[in-house]
Amino acid sequence: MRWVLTGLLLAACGVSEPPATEERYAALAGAPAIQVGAVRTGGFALFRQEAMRDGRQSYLGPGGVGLVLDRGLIIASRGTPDALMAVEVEGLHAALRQTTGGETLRRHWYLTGTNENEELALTCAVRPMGPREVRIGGGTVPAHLMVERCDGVNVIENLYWLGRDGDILQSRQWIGPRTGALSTRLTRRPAR
Amino acid sequence: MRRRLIGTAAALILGATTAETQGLSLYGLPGLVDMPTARAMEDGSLALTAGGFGGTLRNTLAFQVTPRLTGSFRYARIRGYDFDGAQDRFDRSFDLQFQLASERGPGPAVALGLRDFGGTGIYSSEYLVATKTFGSFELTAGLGWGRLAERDPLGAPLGLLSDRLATRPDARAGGIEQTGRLDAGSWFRGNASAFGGLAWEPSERWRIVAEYSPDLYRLETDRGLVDVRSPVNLGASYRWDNGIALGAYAVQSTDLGLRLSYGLHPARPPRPGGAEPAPPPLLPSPAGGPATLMQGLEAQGIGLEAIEIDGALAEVRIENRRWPVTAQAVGRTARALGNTLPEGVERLRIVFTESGMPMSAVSMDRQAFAEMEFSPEGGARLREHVALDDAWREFDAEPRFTYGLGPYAALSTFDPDAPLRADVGLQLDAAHRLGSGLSVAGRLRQPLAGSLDESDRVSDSRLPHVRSDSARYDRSAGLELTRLTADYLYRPGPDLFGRVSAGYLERMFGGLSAELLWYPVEGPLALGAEVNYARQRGFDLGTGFRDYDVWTGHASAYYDLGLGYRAQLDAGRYLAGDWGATLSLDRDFGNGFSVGAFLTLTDVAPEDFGEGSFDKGIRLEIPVSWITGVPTRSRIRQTIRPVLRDGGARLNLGNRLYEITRPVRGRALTEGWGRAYR
Repeated sequence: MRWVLTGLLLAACGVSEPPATEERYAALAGAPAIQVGAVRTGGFALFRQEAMRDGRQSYLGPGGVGLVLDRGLIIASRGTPDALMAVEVEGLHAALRQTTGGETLRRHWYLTGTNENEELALTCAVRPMGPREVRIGGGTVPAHLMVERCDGVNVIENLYWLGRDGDILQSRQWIGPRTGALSTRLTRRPAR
Repeated sequence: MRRRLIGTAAALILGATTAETQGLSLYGLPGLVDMPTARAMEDGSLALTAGGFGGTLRNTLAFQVTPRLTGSFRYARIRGYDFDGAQDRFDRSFDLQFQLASERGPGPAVALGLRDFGGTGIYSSEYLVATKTFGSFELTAGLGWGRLAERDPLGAPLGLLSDRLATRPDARAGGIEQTGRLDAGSWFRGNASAFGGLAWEPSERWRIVAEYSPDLYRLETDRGLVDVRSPVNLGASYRWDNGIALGAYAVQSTDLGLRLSYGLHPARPPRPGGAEPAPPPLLPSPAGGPATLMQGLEAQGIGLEAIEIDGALAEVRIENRRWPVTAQAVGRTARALGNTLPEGVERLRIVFTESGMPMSAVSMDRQAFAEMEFSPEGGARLREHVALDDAWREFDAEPRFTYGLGPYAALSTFDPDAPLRADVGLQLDAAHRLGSGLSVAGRLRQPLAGSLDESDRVSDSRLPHVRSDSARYDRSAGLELTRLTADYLYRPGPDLFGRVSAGYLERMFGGLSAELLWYPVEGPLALGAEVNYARQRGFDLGTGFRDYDVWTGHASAYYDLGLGYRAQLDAGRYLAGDWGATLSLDRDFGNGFSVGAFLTLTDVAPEDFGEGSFDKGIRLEIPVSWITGVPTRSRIRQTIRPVLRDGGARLNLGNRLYEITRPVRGRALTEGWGRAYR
């Protein structure tokens, strides 16, 4: 048997390159941010806006998690347990801003283990749940709550707290079976 | 239509990494206790089983090769089998089961099976089996030959066709020298016995089995190793969601049997979406200059070799150091380009290079790449949009020195004295690229702990000892020069690749090696030729050589059969001077995970080849990123050979052109685009 310096070997195994991700996140200090929570674990973090292109905002959180929002709706996620490559929410923006709600179709595309994008389609109903208040930046803002219930392989329930101008102030949105739902909340009142 | 779509999606998205292993037998294939059933595993799944009772332990790797064909390799130990109980028998065997009919219709599933069709013949048997499910019950009945016809034989069914088929020649008559030959002459011959059983699955997790077995374990009972008191075996197994199943069995009323199985599916890595950080977003307008571009690419594990802007076209030559999926490397590169290049640049051409040699090019409109980012099936749409071509014109690459120090592990398997030996140690890799395609690279290894040096096996091979002296190399145990070569990679013309290597080519041989490969960018077919002059290295793995030298080389054809199957045929002269051919078949799961088998037949007579009769084996290739979710081009390759002998041996070259070009040619380039925007 040869037993020489196994400790050295273990030390060599532990060597890894420093993460550039944290630097990238730190460099965004001061950028517009939203508060994002994982409903399953109860953890919260500040996600900072990294870019805005064609009305879509890309946010980066700690650990390299990325979210892309379109008028408050999550349309893509990266670095989450499910890679949500794209989302189509036909009629959802309109239904959320109607007092009676409406029927919608939600389609998600996920990255699979064989590098394809697989579709998950859900039929949804949007219903108003009445007035609520949302705490933003130390104060409260009047809002009304809308619920989006979807049926498919998964039964999911997304919640949206909308401000008077139709902005999504706070939400709970389902990402995928591995990730569960994420909550989002604005860190300051929308400027009008 | 939508329902079906939803169903498929759910299977892929929600499907666990694991595969079903509950319905496996102690032989590690679909079955009851010892008896087979006609079921097949999920297509593509892999199952590892350790099962046994008393002094018998069977370790089996089973693979569902196609929806109907199941194959397995088994390494069994029977305690005290040889020399009147003085020595254990380590037995290697292969099984095949083919499902003739599935259970879709009103009839039962029907399967034909061969157990141990090419090993030492201890488990040699064949069967025809039918299985039908009734609610939570599963009824199985079959006819067995060979070992499965030891109790109450019904006569020889095939004897009705021909007298020759009425008796079964003794497959074991030839002894160890005869092992490894296909015993086709005895298949389904002689007496057959009936077997059968019942399985009950009261819940998703439990499976209760009872069977009638005609296997009298004659070879074992003759040696006093097994006591068979009853033909009835009973058992129960439980499965967890993590792919593990555990079973306990009452075998022949005398022994307690146990089975532990683990199943996984190569198409379902634990983290399909990847654990890497989100890519940098595409900015609404570009910022920065060439330095920003270089930094941006470096941060993505992509080396910038050269950039050329000509009007609206920008061409970059890059080296992908991180991404196992080429389409993802394209995506990360296109992002960095989109965020830095001046707005006048409308078209991007990304040339992949390896060791300073241009390989393939991917071209696209900058605008289109940005527009499809968040669109449904964006990656697949991008694939339709990009143009792929051969980028064969060479360029001046800058000299570069790279090195890496890390741990390594080396394994030696199936030595009857110690079935598994291993070494761990430190390995230093260094490479100096001198210019385009020209480089010097080497590897030093220092074993730190392990047992490889304990083997005192002496080769009894009648052929030149080109591989069978491996234990003598292992015993050197000191600092070893694993390889040190000067390599020149070049592009002789469109779709052509060339390589010349000289030096210490591998652990046991040094010399010269030259290779040419023709591989069209998108084509399924590649053709290659290789000529080597090899001289055997000294056992101390220093710089010295031994007397044996040989001219060896092959002509090779590689063909993508579609649906993930890949075939390779190599014909030529092997290291021991023998002439012949190797046929390999691999199943590739579109994510770098592949499972394959190969066999080599040469003009060496089986008696000269020795144990095993001819070279064969199975091989697994698992990307490290499949396991961890973290992108890296590192992969674990493991070839499992029942016996490593001197016939049918090739040089172990680390830079064969097909392996270098495969990530950026054929299927690896045309598929995987669903990951482009990840």
